[in-house]
Amino acid sequence: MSGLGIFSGIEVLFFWLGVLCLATFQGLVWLRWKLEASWLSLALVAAGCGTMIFDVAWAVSSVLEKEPQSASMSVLVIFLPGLILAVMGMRLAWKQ
Amino acid sequence: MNSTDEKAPGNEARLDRRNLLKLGLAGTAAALTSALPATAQAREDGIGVVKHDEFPMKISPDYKRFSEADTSFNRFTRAGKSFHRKPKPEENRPGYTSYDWALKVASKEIHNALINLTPAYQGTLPKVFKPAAFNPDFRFKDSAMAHAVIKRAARHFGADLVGITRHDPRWDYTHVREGKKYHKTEDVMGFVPKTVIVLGYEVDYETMRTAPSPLGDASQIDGYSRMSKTALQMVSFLSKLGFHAIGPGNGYGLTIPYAIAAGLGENSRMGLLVNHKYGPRLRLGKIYTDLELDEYYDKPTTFGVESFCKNCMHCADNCPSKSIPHDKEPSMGPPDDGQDWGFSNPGIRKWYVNCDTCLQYWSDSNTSCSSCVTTCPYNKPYFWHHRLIDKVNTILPGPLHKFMADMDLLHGYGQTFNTSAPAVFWDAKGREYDGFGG
Ligand code: SF4
Ligand code: SF4
Repeated sequence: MSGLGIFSGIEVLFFWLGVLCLATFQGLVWLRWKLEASWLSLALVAAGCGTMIFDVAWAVSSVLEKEPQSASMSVLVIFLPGLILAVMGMRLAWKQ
Repeated sequence: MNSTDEKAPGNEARLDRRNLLKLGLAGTAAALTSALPATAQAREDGIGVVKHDEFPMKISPDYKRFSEADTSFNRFTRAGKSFHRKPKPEENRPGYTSYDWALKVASKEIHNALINLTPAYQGTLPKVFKPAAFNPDFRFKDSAMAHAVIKRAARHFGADLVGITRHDPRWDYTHVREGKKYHKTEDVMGFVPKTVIVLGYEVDYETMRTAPSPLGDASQIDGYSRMSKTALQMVSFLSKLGFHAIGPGNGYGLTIPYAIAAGLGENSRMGLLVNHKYGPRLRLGKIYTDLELDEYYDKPTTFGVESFCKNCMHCADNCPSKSIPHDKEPSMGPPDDGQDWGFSNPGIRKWYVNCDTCLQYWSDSNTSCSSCVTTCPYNKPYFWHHRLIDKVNTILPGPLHKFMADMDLLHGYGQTFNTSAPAVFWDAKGREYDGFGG
């Protein structure tokens, strides 16, 4: 991960995590506004996206510290459950 | 005794990457449930980070002070054995080449230069620094200020951790060694100490990953050089403020109980101090002084290490000489088959490690081993996700510590005899575990 020789990998990572969090928040607002999604579906999407974003942070940090096995394991135990939650939430939001 | 090439058992929970990818969600869920055996133990000292007014380990009323002559290192030397032999480079073996050995031996040079002033190892008496105040009328405004000034000065001189505790004769040796002679500790102390300043030095994570190897030893030995250098500057600093001070490093007393009393960490199954920031990847030294700090001493702190150790056996599983016990609970003395151990001082509730077999392995492998440190889940680089897990571990109930310990292996941490680690350390790009990536 390039920090243009100015920022560390962790600093660049947390910048992009901020961008992802903002995008998630905007997506949730859009779902509520345009699709009038229920609060339950929004909670599921928020929990799922939050979990996936947490895993991105974990996995990239693991690669930076040169433990790629930790990154792959985190995809299984953190990212996948997050994806399932987010997909469930999206399906619920879309059905309404 | 296993040879250095032989892999110690106990890594059953580890997966190679291909298998890992095959592991699906169902497997993860199963691992989650199966990792909570009925035998897992709950934490007894509280939840989170707990500060104690008293020493946090149980001490028997029969506990007696101990002579430096009876430590395993001295018994080993007296028996005519050496636990460190001459450098023997193996140019095709990672971590054992000429430059690995050169790094190890050169790491000790500062210690060697300062050995008659502030030795880090036992066997040489430190110089007693007498009061030589610039201003004989100088007094600290109060003990709070003295406490803060000492900590700042020690960090300025290179200590990574500083804890200050009251002098406690229980932890001092009855006798200390000078070459082949032994002296009563009080006779050579030169003053009546009131305070012990415990200094901690981080041991580099990348070199420790290569343990056991001369490269793995290099940063530990560098810790002793740093110990001598900082101690010399600190005793000079205290002397210039009008106090007596000596910096005996590992000598004169047991450093780990002093470090526990000074709030630097907890005892562990492998017998080393586990610090909340560096885990067991630490060297410890101490300074005795007659500066009195009234009530301004650091308090012992526990954060769940004993509970974690009850539920994790990584060090015991991976010790190549089988020196670390697998007993679930700590005990007040060595295990039954070790009642005749001369090097262990009974009367403290802890896990008793067979230091004689450990040292024999050092001698056989011509390294300081440290596989126990490398495999410990508390041994991590300083990254946010490990700090998070450490914090979570302080509030988790004991049974979940077993799960966390197993997950640590599944995530690829805690490997011992890692032959690819030296290449990472000597990487041409000179990368460090700081996430800078170049
Ligand atoms: S250093 Fe630790 S792992 Fe190595 S032999 Fe000694 S106790 Fe066992
Ligand atoms: S490896 Fe496990 S049992 Fe051993 S000291 Fe570390 S936490 Fe405790």
